[in-house]
Amino acid sequence: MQPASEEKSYAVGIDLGTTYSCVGVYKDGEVQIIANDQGNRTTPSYVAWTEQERLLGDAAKNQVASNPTNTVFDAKRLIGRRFDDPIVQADLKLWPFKVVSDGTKDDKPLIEIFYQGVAKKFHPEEISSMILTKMKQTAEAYLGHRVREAVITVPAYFNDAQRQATKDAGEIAGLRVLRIVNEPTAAAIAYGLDKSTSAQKETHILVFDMGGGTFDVSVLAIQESVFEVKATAGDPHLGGEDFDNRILSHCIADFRRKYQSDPTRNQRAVRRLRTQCERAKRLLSTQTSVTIEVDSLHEGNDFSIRLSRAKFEELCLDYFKKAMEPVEQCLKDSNLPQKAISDIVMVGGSTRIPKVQELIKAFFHGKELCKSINPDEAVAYGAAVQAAIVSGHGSEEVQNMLLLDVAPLSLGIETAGGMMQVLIERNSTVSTSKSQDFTTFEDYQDHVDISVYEGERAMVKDNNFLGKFTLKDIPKSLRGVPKIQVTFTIDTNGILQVSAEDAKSNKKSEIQIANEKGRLTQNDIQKMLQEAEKYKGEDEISKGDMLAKEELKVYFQRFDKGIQDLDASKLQEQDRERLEKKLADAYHWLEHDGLKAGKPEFEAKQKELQAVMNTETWTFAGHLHSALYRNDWEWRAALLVCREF
Amino acid sequence: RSDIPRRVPDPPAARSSPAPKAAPPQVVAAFRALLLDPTAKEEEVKKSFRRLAKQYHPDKQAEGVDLEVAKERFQRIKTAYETCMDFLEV
Repeated sequence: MQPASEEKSYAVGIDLGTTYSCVGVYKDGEVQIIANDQGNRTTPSYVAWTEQERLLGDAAKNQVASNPTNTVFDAKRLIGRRFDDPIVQADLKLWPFKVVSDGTKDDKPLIEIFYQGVAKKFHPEEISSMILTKMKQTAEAYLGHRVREAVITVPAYFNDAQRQATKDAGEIAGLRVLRIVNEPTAAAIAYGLDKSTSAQKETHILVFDMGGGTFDVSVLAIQESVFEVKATAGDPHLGGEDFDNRILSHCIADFRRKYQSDPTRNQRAVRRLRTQCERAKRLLSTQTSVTIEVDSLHEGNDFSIRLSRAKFEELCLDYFKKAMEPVEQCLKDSNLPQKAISDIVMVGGSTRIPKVQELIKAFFHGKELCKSINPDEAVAYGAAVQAAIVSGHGSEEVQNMLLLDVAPLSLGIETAGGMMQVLIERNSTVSTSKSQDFTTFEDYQDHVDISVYEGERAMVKDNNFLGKFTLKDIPKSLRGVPKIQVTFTIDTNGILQVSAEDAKSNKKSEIQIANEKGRLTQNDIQKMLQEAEKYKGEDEISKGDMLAKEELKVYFQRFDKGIQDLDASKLQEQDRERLEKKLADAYHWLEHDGLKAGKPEFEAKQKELQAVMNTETWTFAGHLHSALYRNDWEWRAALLVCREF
Repeated sequence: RSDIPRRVPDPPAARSSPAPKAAPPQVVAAFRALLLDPTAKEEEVKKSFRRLAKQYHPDKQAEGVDLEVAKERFQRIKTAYETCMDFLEV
């Protein structure tokens, strides 16, 4: 293959967050964090369906209060989980959109929305893929090239199913997922490029990563540009949204007290209030008290409450304290005392909360925290660097870096008495492969069932079931004689593969975890990929239609204003009437036929009006034209405004 | 439940003679795999492993190198690293 004939293509790094996502690319020797079409460097992880179209990112989040049931967010809190998962069941009660079970034995959750009068159901992977598509498009718009490959980050404490599902989401978005990287590890790279990490002496850092929905802690050893994760711990369901919910409950209780009425069933009210709660939380990181205000929140009652920082801390204190446990665990697992940590790197929006900073600082006996890296962008930054490393691009400094990550949870199989036999211990460096021999319990047993679990508890029933497979046709012999070798392999993405082999017959059986634990099949992914392509086409068409329609509307307004502004000396009464009639007709058309019309019709209509104008006498046309375009910048601004929709 | 597998017990560990602790052959081999003497200290083990990892890790291979081979090599030095660290910490 000639390199010259190859289309230039970039590998990007995407931080797919619970509440916000961010994309970066390594280009011209440095990482660029890419702003979206709204100029924002992070994009809300929101997807919405309106009457006309699908909206992504800022556009989706901006209209959430008016369209709560069709605006989907928090897909990351659903991905890779079962519908009957207690966490999903608890979250359900807080979401304004509908989540149902797929009704199969896998009990996958599906998100249900209404689009153009039809109920549509989506897997969380599909919602995530739409957000990934948005991030991909953002990068493509900036680079002017197609983006086909990406490194996507996940919380370090994500389990196997959640990692698999995230990888699937990338595939549905049409991306080749080069690597699934742990968020705190990615942040450590960002930190590493900031400091000099090529020193011969070993240093240890702790990354404290608390975002919108998940929480991770990792301890890394850095030496000669090798980043070796020593231990990781966390909570895949703890973050800023949980704090928002606490403020929200507090506000709702207050509203109930004041008005003896309950707004919880009023989706729009709850959504409006939640937005203000999130805002208040952010403000409380820099000021000591805020007022949460929502006019006409519920049944015409205005709501207003003063919230102090102290009260906010009181509301969330148990969460903040809980966040210190993984820190302790991580130090214990990595066999290091507090004083061995040379830097504490704070990442994720929630690390701006003063109380969180205070608690961790106290834990490390008053040590200053490292805040030199941007907490919102560090993960995407590191992912972009890892994309450059893996795809072999990047400067010498980047090429010299190596990342050695770990598996966050122990993996093993069920043996006698429902006990968990661990094959891969947690915090093992990946990629890794471990084998162990097993045998039969009874004479002439011809098969064994192998059930795979992840978790730290002694009994498998307390751990997370991943899948099960059967090794059949074991040559008949007395119990304890056959030798069955079970091999666990974790790849660099932290994804597990299991195989079992009977030493005598060389019969091999490999687990199809893919199908066993409710993961999407390759067929599903293909189908969703086609669906996504279709959507993309639809999006583009409907976007073009909307744009043409809005342009036409703006033209109407200008036309109308132009006629009104002309005084009688310049426009005879009969001309005015004729023009007004023409305009009224056009309005009528827009409100009736216009509902079904597409871009060509709108453009034709605009041309028609322009033609009417042009057939007038030169003087009149001149006057009208100058009236229409008197404020040229205003006209441009109006056009820009409608482009945004 | 009889169809679940049973663990094959590990062979009794060959208790090495009391102090001074001599490295068993597999530990010596592990040090050798890291290009070190069995007398090497923790810092040397870490440093050597990290240097070798940079050389052998699949992410660090030039185009055309068989990644499966690289993976195996990397896992070999990783296992050696773990063996050495376990030995040093006992």
